[in-house]
Amino acid sequence: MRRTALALIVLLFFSFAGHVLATSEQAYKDYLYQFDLYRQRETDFRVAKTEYEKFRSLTSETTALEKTKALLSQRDQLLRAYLFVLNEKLNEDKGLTGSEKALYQRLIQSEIVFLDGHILLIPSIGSIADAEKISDQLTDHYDILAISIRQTIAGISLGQLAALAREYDAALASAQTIIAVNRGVFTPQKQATLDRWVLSITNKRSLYKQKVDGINQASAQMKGDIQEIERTFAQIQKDIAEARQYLAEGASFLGELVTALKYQD
Amino acid sequence: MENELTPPIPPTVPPEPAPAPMPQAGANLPKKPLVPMWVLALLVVLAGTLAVLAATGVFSRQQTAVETPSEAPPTPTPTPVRALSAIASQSAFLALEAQVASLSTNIQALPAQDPSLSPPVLDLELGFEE
Repeated sequence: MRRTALALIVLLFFSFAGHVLATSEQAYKDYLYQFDLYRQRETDFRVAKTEYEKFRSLTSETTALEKTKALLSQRDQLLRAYLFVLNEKLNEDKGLTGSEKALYQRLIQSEIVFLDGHILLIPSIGSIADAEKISDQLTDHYDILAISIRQTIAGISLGQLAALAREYDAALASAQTIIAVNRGVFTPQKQATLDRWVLSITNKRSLYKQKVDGINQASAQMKGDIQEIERTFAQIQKDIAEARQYLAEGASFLGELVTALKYQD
Repeated sequence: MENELTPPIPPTVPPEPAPAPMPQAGANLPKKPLVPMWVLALLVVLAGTLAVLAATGVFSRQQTAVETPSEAPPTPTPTPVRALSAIASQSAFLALEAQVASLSTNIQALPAQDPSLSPPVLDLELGFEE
């Protein structure tokens, strides 16, 4: 009876874990599906628009209006699906603190609220001019949406690095404890070498932290038009890669330290 | 006095060269060689070929003479045996070893950029002509 209950608990745990891991993957599949729909609606819109501009008939105008409304609606759905992917990635993140996660999720929620409100306006579009006006509302808001998206992406990437940095700190602390407890095991020359290596590993960690602080600052100050936002974001992505490289180099140094500790000479 | 005229000085005329003697028929033609030209050319070609063959033959004999020595097999360098430290068997050290290996693997597994995070690029302008 006890064994059966234990087996059931283990089975439930793994099925639950599997469900949590699959959520962002499922969200991403849904986003790709919405993107395919968006491309179809955009193609239909372009064809209808060209015909309307060519013939200027009532029929072509009605068709163009239908296709425009379908496009505007699908555009909002696509952006909403993408924000949902970001939200699920945040849920799965293990590196961000609770307050950091809550901050990014508030950004996403704010944009979802905007898009939900925008979608509700689309059925009331009665003319091409109305469609232009409603579309312009998204265009005017798009810089803010783009900033929120890119800040969240940067946050998710930093969260992934933060989880690795915690592993790094734990390994370094273990190594320092082992060296401190076993001070008489090695020759003074080797001991001095080990101390220098620990310093190098600590320096890499400091460089990583400086880079992350710079990234957080740049992300918080992201502003301007879409081109400037893209430039800032490209620099942030480059800095994230450099921060990862510092951790990689420090981990390599830790490997060398472990090898040195393993052997007497 | 004024009527006395000095006799003109006769101009000096260089003497005419003696006419060249008329060539006799067949006087300047070379004599017929003992050996025909084509035979001479053939002999030159044969001599040159023999010289080249001789030269390559000499060099090839010298090269084969150089390539013949056999090489002794290389002596394998013994791998130095390193003595394990007193720490190597400690549980704390073994745990550290596993920690560092896991950290390196996790860092390598992290992609430089997650493609699922790339935002959609949208053309927002409807662009209807007035």
